[in-house]
Amino acid sequence: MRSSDAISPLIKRCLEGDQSAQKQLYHNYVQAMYNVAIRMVRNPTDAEDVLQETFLKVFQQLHQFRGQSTIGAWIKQITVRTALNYLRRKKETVDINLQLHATEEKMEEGDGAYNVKAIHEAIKALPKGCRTIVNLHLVEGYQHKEIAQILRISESTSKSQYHRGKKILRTILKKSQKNKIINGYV
Amino acid sequence: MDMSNPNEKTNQEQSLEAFVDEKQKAFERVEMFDADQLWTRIAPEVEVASPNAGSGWGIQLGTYWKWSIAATILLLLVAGLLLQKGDPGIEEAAYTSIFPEIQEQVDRYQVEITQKEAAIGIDELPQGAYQQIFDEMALLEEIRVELLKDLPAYADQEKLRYLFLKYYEQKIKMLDRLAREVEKKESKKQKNEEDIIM
Repeated sequence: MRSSDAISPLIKRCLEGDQSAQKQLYHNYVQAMYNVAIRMVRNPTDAEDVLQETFLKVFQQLHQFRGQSTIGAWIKQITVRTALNYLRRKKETVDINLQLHATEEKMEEGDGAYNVKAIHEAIKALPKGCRTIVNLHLVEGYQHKEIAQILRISESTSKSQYHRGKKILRTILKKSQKNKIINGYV
Repeated sequence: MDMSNPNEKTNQEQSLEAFVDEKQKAFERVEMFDADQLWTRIAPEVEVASPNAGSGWGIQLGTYWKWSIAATILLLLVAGLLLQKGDPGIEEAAYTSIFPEIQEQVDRYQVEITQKEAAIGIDELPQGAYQQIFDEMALLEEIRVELLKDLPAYADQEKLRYLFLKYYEQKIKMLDRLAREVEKKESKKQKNEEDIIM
């Protein structure tokens, strides 16, 4: 993501209602935000709904952006909160069954024991509660204190669910590794 | 959002987190989708949603409309009293000696208020979380003080009696509202904890 300094002229143009600038800002961040959203809501259609709501908020609230963080971090915050509200509205049930099919796809970016695609899919397969926490802490870089505030839970719950989620994540990754071997991908 | 807190990681965990940290950029591009198609859905709404289109004020006013109406009504009430006011300066609670017939009723209200405040734990509540209700209660108290000042000279005794009793009723309603809000927040917090733990 670009620094706020580098894109501030773009933001100014967006604030002036320049549609080509708005489209440019959208394209700069939409793919990254799609990945943030889909790890949280899992379903592509839901992720697109989250993005639609997110970018409407972004352009509606852009005048409130003061450059305390990068514009990318600011948009990510909006994406995360919008995805959480989306899940709350949908009253998504917790799926405890581990969805291993997603990790059976061919791996694209291998790196020793881990690879990005497998971790991405394994996070999506986690049960809802710990999925959100693992995603926010492990991938999005939020501290447990911040997660506690966002989810309105205690910091210790965030930590314990993170550790629980990571154990499940490792199980999924191990099974995915076995599936790779069985299916002849390695 | 710094995730490099070594206190939260064991050596084994470090490798997974270090890997994710190192591949941060790649996690932004694992799945690609048709961004142009989504833009065609968003663009017309962006134009409407832009603050320059004037929707921002609507949203801001929306949050406070109930409070604005309540404040207006209460201020009109005060203004009505001030038009008829005489010499200020009567001590608080003196009105029950002027209106002994409402003494019993006032005592009951006061007991109810004390009980409700204790049940809510009003002194320990973070006021910021319930700012609107606390603001309304503060305004109600201001009105009460004005009523007390106006007491000796106020011509319409019947109306004054009614207003004093109304003050207690309003206060009790506000405390009930506060109790509901506190309960709502607590159950939401508990539900969040349950959702996460499941």
